[in-house]
Amino acid sequence: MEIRVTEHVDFITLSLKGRLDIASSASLKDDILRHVARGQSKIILNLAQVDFINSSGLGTLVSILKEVRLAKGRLVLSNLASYVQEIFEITQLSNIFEIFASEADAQDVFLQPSARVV
Amino acid sequence: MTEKRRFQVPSATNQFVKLYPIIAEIVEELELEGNEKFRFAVCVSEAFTNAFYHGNQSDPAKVVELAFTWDQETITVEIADQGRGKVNDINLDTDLSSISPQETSGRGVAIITSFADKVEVNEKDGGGLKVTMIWHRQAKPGPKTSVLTR
Repeated sequence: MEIRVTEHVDFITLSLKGRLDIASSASLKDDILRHVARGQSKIILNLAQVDFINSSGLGTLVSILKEVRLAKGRLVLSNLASYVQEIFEITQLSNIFEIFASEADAQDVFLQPSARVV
Repeated sequence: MTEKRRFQVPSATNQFVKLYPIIAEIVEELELEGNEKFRFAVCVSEAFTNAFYHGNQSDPAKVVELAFTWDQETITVEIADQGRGKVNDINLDTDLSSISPQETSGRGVAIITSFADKVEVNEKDGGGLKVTMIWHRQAKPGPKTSVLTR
């Protein structure tokens, strides 16, 4: 899995490319938690180029979400392909993740004045 | 005409990725596309992951066997390990709606039973479990079935 990180003033965007499975999950979690430890806990995960995800990948995303929330951060997802969206819905994960159709929509969450930490 | 393909993948950690070219080859032969292709790939991946890590315990001396059989009406996938698992270790009745979204594991089998038309788990002679997943290529009405056979 390739991870491209874009740092913004108020948040970071991680664009994932490839498969999110048991083989790639651990490195993704480690990577994100390193950002969280540095105080970068407002995160957009752009899944546009994730061409495969299974229960291992889903479980890792849940685990990451919990860690980010524990750090008082916020994790949102964007650009889910229709098959990824489908598995989020049948597993009910769409109920606990904030999911946006586009990265621009996801960015709005962090650009709103109320989302800024004073 | 019935087509068959068989593969064996050793359960050494660095061999896991061999699953994906196998899936790619089969979905191309089956001409699966879009969400149908993804659902098929996820089911094969879930069963393979269970066989590789839970059944064979990542033992490089053991292999996961994959058998794909299809004709114009049915696609059958059998994935078998060489572990010590028992049929009762796998609960095919777990519904995805009963698993809390907060859980970080335990969805694999429920995803298989959601996406496949029929799922069976059998204990092999000599040890190991075999998961059989069946899809009907022409949609037919009727309830899904899950069967455990000792």
